[in-house]
This record gives sequence, C-alpha cells and structure tokens, in this order.
Amino acid sequence: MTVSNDIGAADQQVAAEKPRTARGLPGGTMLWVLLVLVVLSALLTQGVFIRPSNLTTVLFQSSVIGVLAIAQAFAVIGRGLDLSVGATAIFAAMVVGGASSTADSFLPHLPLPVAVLAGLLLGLVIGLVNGTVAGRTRVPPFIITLSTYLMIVGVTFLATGASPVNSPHPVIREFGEARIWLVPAPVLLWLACIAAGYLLLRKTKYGAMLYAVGGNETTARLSGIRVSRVKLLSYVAAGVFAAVAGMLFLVRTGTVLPSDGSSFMLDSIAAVAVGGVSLAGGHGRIRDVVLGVLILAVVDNLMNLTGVSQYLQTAVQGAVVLIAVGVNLRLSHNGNE
Amino acid sequence: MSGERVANPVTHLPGEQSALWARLTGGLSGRAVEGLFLLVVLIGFIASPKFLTTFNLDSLLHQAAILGVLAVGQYVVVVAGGFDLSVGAVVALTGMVTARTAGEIGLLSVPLAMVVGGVMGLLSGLAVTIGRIPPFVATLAVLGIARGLAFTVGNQGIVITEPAILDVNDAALGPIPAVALVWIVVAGLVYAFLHLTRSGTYVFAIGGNADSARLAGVPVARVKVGVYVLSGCLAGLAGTLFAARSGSGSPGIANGWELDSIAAVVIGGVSFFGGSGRLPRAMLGVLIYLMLTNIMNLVNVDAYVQNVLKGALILAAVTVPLLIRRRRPAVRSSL
Amino acid sequence: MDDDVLVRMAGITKSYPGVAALRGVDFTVRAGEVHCLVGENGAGKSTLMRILTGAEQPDEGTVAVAGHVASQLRPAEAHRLGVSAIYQETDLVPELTVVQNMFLGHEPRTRFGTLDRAAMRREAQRVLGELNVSLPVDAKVSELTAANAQLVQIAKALTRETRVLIMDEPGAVLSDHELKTLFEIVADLRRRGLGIVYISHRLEELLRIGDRVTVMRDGRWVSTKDVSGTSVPEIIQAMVGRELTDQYHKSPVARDEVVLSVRGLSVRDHFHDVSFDLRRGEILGLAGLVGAGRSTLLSCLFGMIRAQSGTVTLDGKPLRPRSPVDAIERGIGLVPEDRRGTGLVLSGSVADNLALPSLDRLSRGVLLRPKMLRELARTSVAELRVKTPSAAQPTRFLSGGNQQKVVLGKWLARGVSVLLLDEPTAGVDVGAKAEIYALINKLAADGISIVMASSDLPEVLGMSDRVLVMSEGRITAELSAAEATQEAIMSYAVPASAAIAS
Repeated sequence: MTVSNDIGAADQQVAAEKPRTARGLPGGTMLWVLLVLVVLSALLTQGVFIRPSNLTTVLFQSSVIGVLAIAQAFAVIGRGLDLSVGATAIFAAMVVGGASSTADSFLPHLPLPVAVLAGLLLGLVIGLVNGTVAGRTRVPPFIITLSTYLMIVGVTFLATGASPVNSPHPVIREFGEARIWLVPAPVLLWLACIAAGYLLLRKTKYGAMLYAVGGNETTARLSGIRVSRVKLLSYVAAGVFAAVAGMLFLVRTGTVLPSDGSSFMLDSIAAVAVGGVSLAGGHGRIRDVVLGVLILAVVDNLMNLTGVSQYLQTAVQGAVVLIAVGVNLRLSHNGNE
Repeated sequence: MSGERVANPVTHLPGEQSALWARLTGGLSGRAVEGLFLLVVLIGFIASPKFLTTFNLDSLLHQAAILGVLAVGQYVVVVAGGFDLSVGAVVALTGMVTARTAGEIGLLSVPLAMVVGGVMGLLSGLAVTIGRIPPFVATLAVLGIARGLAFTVGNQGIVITEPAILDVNDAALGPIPAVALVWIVVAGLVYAFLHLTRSGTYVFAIGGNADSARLAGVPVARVKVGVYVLSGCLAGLAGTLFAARSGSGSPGIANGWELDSIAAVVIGGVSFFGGSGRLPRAMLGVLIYLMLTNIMNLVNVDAYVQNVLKGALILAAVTVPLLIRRRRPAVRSSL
Repeated sequence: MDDDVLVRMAGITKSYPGVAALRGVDFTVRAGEVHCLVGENGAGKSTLMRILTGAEQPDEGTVAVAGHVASQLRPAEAHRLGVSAIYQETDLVPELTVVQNMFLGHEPRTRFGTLDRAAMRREAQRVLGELNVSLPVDAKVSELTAANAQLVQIAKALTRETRVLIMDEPGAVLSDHELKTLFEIVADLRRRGLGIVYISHRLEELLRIGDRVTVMRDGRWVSTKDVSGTSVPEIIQAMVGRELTDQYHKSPVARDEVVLSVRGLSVRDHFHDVSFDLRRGEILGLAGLVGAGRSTLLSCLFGMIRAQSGTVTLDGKPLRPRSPVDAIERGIGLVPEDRRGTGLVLSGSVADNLALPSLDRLSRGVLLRPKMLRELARTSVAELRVKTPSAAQPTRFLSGGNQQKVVLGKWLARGVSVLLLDEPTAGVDVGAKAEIYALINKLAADGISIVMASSDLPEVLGMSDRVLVMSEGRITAELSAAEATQEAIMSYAVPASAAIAS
C-alpha cells in the first residue's frame, strides 16, 4: 500500500467529481416527497386528510415511533444499529406504568416522578450494556443488540410477572389527553425530543465526534477521538430516548402489555432508512429522521382513510420502504459514484 | 453488513505465528461447534431423564427439520455476505398458501409454496442488487410485504384437512421422520451445489471479497439474487412443513424465526461477515439451538428466562471466536 | 515488424469533467518485451492501463490487441484477447484456496456441469511449477505471505490465455529477495513471448528488468526509449521536465536541542533496536524500501502499536502512548500514508476534518463553540491555500493535494511540536507538492520537529536535514545532508544479501 498509480488516477477521478452545486432539492428530497404525499392524500380523501383533527391524530400516533426513530438514529449515525430500542421502550413503559400504578402490581410501588426516573435509568443501563460491548469488541452491533433485545424481552416478562399495566397513575392519563394550544402533550414531548436530539448531534462535541466515528472510525481514532467512549454514549442516548418513547407509549395508550411493541424495532429502522439516513453511518440529520417518520405515518393514515385492509397495509408499508430507500440511494449515488 | 468490503486485503496477512498456539486455536475453533453440541447433549442427559426419550427426540427432529431447512437458506445468504430477515414472514405466507390450496391441488401445493417463497426472495434479491438497498432494510421491507400478504390470504388460520399434506408430517422411514429426511436431502443438495459447481464457489467469493470476484468476472448480481431466491424457496418449503405439522396455516406465526435461523447459523460457526462457514456445522448450530430450548423447557425454565439465555448464547457465540482471533500475534504488514 | 506488436494504442484521449487525463497518447507493447511505464502520480499511467483492460473507455483513439481493433473495449473482451492485470490491491478472495482463486470466474467444468476439481488442481500445479514456485494449492490465500499472494495473482493471470500482462507496482510489497524471484518470473514470461507492462516508481528496478521505457507526464506521452540507451537521471528529467533541485527551497533551521529521543525501540516482526534523536526544527528523513518498517515505526511513536522493548523520551519525559490520544496530548501528530482511508473522514466537510483533533479544545464543556470552529476553518483554509468552494465542502470532492493540506491542517490547527509524516506528497499534483514543501519548511522554521518517511528519494534528499535509512527493520545508516546521495541511500536501503548478490 505505497505510492500507487491508483492514487493518481483516483485523484483525477475525485477531482472530477465536482458536485453539481445545489444538488438536491432545498430541504432535502424527502421533504418534497412528504409534501407530495400530503397533497395526494388530501385529494384522495377529498379533504378529510387535512382536517385538523386528522392531522392531530396522525401526529399523536406517530409520536412514539418518532422518538424511537431518534433513538435509532443515534446508533445508526455512528455506523451501528440498535435492535433493542423497541424492547427497551416497552420495558420502561411497563416499569413506569406498573410502579406508579394505583392498583396492585408486581412491581414495588413508587411515586410517579421516581418511577419515571427509574424508567429513564433503565434505558441508560441498557444503553450502557450495548455501548460497552459495541465500543470494546468487534462484535457486530446487529448481534449485540439482537442479544440484548432477547434478554430484555425476557426480563420484562419476569420483572412484571407478565401482567399488563392497566390502571396507570391518573396523571399519566391526564398527560395523554392534555393539549396546549390544541397540540397534544405527547406531540409536544416528541418535539422536545427532536430539539434535544438536534442539540446533542449538532451542538455538542460528542455529536461531532459521533459523525466522525460513523464516517471513518480509523481516522477518528487517529485524530485522537476516544472511539469507544463515543460509541458508548451513542448507545446510551439511544437507550434513554427509547425509554422516553416507551413512556410516551404508556401515556398514549394508557395500558401496556408485555407483548406490545413487537413492530417497534423494525419500524424505527424503517423510519430512519426512509428518511434517507445512511445505514453506513456518518450522515443523517434529525430532520431526515422526522421526515421518515412522517412519511410512513401519512401513508399509514392514507390507507386507513381509504379503507385499505389492515393487512394489506403492512405489505404496502414494506413496499414504501423499498421504494423510498431505493430512490434515496439512487439520488445520492448519482452525486458521488 | 453487506455492501462493504471485508477489510482483509491480502497485503496485511498473518505472518509466522507461534506454531503451537496456531494449532491449538485452529483446532479448537475448528471443533468448537462439535464440542458445544456434545456438551449440550450431555447437559440434556444430566438435566432431565425425558431428554433422550424417543418421544422427545422425535419432536426435536421435527422442529429441527423445519428450522433446519430455513437455516440452510439463511446460511447461503450469510455466506454470500448478506442476511435475510424476511424468512419468518415468508413461512407464514407460504403456510397460508399451502392451507388454502391443499384441498384443490394436494401435494402440488408444496412446489407452489416454494414458488411463492422464491418470488419473495426475488424481491429481496432485486432490492439488494439493483436497488442497492442494504440487506437489512431490503429484507425487512419484504418481511412487511410477506406478512401483509399472509394476512390478506386469510386473516385467521385455515385448517388443513388434505391428508396428502398432513401425512408429510407423520410419515417416517423407520425411526426417522420424513421431514428430517427432507432436511437432510435439502442440506445435501445445497452442500453439493456449493462445493461442486462454479456458482457455489462464487457464493463464497462474493462473501469474501465482492470486488475481487467482480474483477474476476463473477456475475455478482446474478449470484446474489440467486441466493435470496434460494432462501425464499427454502422458507416456502419450511412453511409447508410447518403447516403440515400444525395442521393449519396461520398468518401470524413464525414471528422471529428469521432471528432464530440467524442465531442457529451463527452458533454453527458461520462468520457474520460472510465468505466462510461450513454447512454441516451450521446444521449442528440448529440442533444446538433447539436442544437448548428443549432442555430449558423440560427443566421448566421460564419462557422468559429462556429468552435471556438465548440472547446471552448468541452474544457468546459471536464474541468468543473474535476474542480468540485477537490473541494471535500482530499481523505482518507489508510496511 | 508488425507481427510481434501485441498491443497498439493510438491517439488515446480521455477526459473526466474538468480534468483531461490523457491527451493523444500512443503506446505499443511487443511480444517478448518488458515495457516499463513511468510517470509521476497523475501522469495518466493507470488510466491508460485501465483503458487497455477495458475498465474504462477512451473518448478518442483505438486499442488494438493481437490485431483486433476496438474503440470501446470491455473487460470481458479484454480478458478474451489475453489482457490481464495485476494490481497492488490484490483481487484475491482471502477465504478461498489458491486453486479456487486461480480459476475464479473461469472454472473448468466436467460433462455434468460440476467443477472439474482434479483438472483445476493439475493445471494449478503445472502453472505454479512453470513459474518455479512451490505453494500448497489447497492453502487459503489468507494464510499466505503478501509475496506469495502476488505470485498467485500472476499464476491466476496465466491460467488464462494471457498475451499481455500489466503489473502495477508489483515490487511494492516485496522484500528484495522476493523481488529477485519476481524478476526471474518476469524474465521467464518474457522468454515465453508475453508482453509485459511494468509500472513502477522505482526506477532502478526498471533498468534491471525492462527492455523499453515510456515516460508520461501530465497525460501526454513524453518519450519511449530502449532501456539500454537511457539512464535514471534522464528518465527523471523526462518525468518531471525540470531540474529537480529547485523545488524544495530548504534552508537548515534545526537547532541543537533534542526533542525526541528513541533508544532500542523494537516491535516484533517489524523493526528492531531503532535508536535516533530528533532535534527541534529538524526535518529527519526516513528512507527505505517498502517493508523496511518505517510506517510501523511512526505508528509506534503515535501510540498505535505497542513496542516490546526500548524507550522513547519526549521533551525529557518518557513517552509511552497507549493510544493516539496519549500521543496527541503530548503534542505529536501523524499524517498517515493512506489519507483517504485513515487521514480524512471523506463524508465530512473541510471544516469538520480540520477541527477533528481539536474538538475538546473548541468546546466549552460539552457544547461546541461555533464561532471558534468557523474561525479555525477560515484561518486554516486561508493559510494553507486549500482550494475549495467553501469550508462546508465534503472532503471527498477535493483533489489529492488539497486533501493532504486538510490532513496537515488539522494538526496545525491543534498545535503540535512533533509531526510524523508518512509519504506526505504521495498522489499529490506537482503544484500542491510545492506548496506542501513550503509549508513543511515553514513548520520547521517555527520550531516543529518533523520525521518524514518517504519513498521519493529526491524529496528525501531535498527536504531533510539528516537522513535515516531503514532496511529490513533496522537502521542501517544515518546520513547528514551532505553525505546523503541517492546512491548512498539506496546502498543502505537494499538488504545486505541482495547487495552482495548484485
């Protein structure tokens, strides 16, 4: 690997790949896809779609995946993956719901604020486990988080006695129904998470380091970045956000079964991918993640409003993911390959 | 994950290693799977008198046959550098197809199921090659499509009454269930394919170093699509076998089987990065995985504790080989 | 006359957007000759060869192989016509065996459509035998040494009907002994009537093995001469087109104070018992052939590799970095050889890359300070004269020279007292090279101490205050600027046994 003519030639090729300026649409391709979808939906449903009540419902229902996708993004940007986010969410939901429940439950009774803290702590600990193994070994994140996913599911059932949470603390119910200026409180919480995610990724040094680690781990290491620590932090962030998502789920539905959330894992990844965040790491903005969530939510809502069979919906979602990711990849490849 | 180049340019090769250590670790990791298999059998023997009974082993074999057929497909895809997350959903879909059509076309519903599975596999393969979508996302999406289609065929289970199909599950050659024979035959055919044909070599080549393979003129895209189609077909076959076993097709079953098949394959020593791994060992991985579950059931380990242990096992199965490999002396770089 | 011309490329022109890579180049290869192709990085050699192998298509011009003329040659066709190429980045599959690799893509089949393994093994052993190489054909390629892997590549090319063999820097990964074996094989292939294109930067190699030598510069053909009728200085002149001595502008600024002191440093299998001092403001050249251990030495100093024995002292205090983090904290920076792979985050912007080692300093607690970041980027880009539309430009779109400036820039922004350079101008165009030399000189004048490992002898001679020569893991000579000549360095760089033999 010394001086090679390939470098010279690659040099020329690189110089030749001047990006066409203003490549891509302002705000990103996915924004326009979303806008097109919104218009389409409005037309196909004869305006039902854009009724404020419907829009609010859409936002309300996508808030959980919205936060889960942010959690996933932290892992993906660092060139990792977190298959355990869904399980973490449900675990946190059950713990918070069960511990603060007014009824008898398997868990020790805790006042609500403490229960919430416990839930967040849970996410933190799980993130620590994932992050430590990811940061210090070469085990692929897929395997690590697959293993923790299985373990968390198991522990969830054990810790909660497999009984559902169904008499949550009244404050939880109130929070779920609260509105501030017509915006449901859960959606506001989602917005807060978006802001937090943005802040962490764009405004902190660890965020900058995470992009570097995801973009080229060796270079990052050779530039003095403590790669294991950065990876650890990214999974911790994923875990904590996942816990928050779980609590949002609790708030939104009021009851939690241990078997809930089976689709969370895949939904979070689908949202991230559809938004155009590269699974290879080093790229991706919170904006993209949000767009991915919204696009899938709009498609879902559209299918509901037009009466598409619930089962066919799953199939259509799959197709949407394929198309969206494929299109995104085509566009970005045209820029640099 | 597929799509990247496996970082092993030949210019950074292991130099001389301490001969003893190399032999030891090579031998050990070479036999680790077999050793683990014997260990698990031993554990089973000790843990429960019911483990080695005909009834239990028969049941185990039935399960292993189904997961085994699935794992053969997963093995080929993983060796080629990818993985297939859609197989569980395909099993459900093809099970429904079998149940729906068994009454009319009898045993022909089996090849039909395999065709349906193959079409799903084709979708995955095209997404990965032409769409350049990472296997994770691509097969995830196909999972959604297959699951959705399964429910569209029928949103509840369909009972199978066609004897031709039900007999598949009950038939046996002496002590060996017919389904196990199917598994063995399938594994044998795939093994022969991988070792006796060009395309078989290409599967390993693509998983090992796709760029080199391409430069050598290997039709990378075609082979990749092929492995996904194979995985889909075998998932279809597994779906039929399961439908025969459970006496019905059901759209919601096989949730998570893809992870089971990946776990089995990984436990069987197949490198998650692709390019290496022996089929017989992968099949042992299936048995190990199922035996462990079986033992835990016999010992009345809580289903949820089982989950925890399974997770730990998978992690160990991948981590330990990596730790062993790291102990080897520094590679001799070309510089 | 025309009978023995295997390859005739005429009027080849190729442009990439904004860059004219080749302009009207003619090139021929005769049967039974070793035709050496030389030129600076960016001269167009690789592009020309990629056109010959069909990997690229020329905008104008024709390629004729064995009489068959094509203007749009594709790889499959080139293969059929007997063109094979061997690159540095090996195109072998590590987990497959020697036999499998040799026949990858064109395996012989039996009547039943299965692999004819017996025939493959027989043929593999025959080909290897003809090359006078004994290798276990069932060994996995990942278990071979780099030299043997390269031999497998050559054997692989010979399993096909190869008329023309292109070898791109084959000697780069070989020790001198292995190089001899390679030359014997090349001579043998020449005897058998193959035409060989041998690309190398090591001009002495070319004179040993070549029949003709073609020099390219800036995408144009410059000269083709018989090797016997030319000399290394003449070739260099043709490559560069000007006197070499001017471009370095070196003035000695080194002081006496010893900054870095290395004693008896050893890393098993790489280098042994290395000792030297580095003075403030000094540029210490580190010369040697590939495989001598230079890059590993730098990696060790930077904390990437643990030494088995020896001591390193920096500013009077012991230096035992367990990772690059430690080395950087002590004020050491490394510009690695592979800037795209390990020097830059290609997906990141110029500003991102420049700030990378300084992120801790550019933050207040955990929060970044955007103004400081902007300022850093602005000053660096200006001072280094990085040609980029903006600091937000992803570095992958920059030319090699500008990329290298960014890599250097990140250390300057951070502030270092010792800078380790590994092939600092590899793949950099001539204009940027001059700027980088000027920069390095300025750094030395500012009191930064520099260790510069380089395979570019004129560069080593032009820039160094002293030259250390490494050979097979040991320091074989320490030459002052006055003592250092190309011949002197080369004589110390070449392994002792080979020197005696030749």
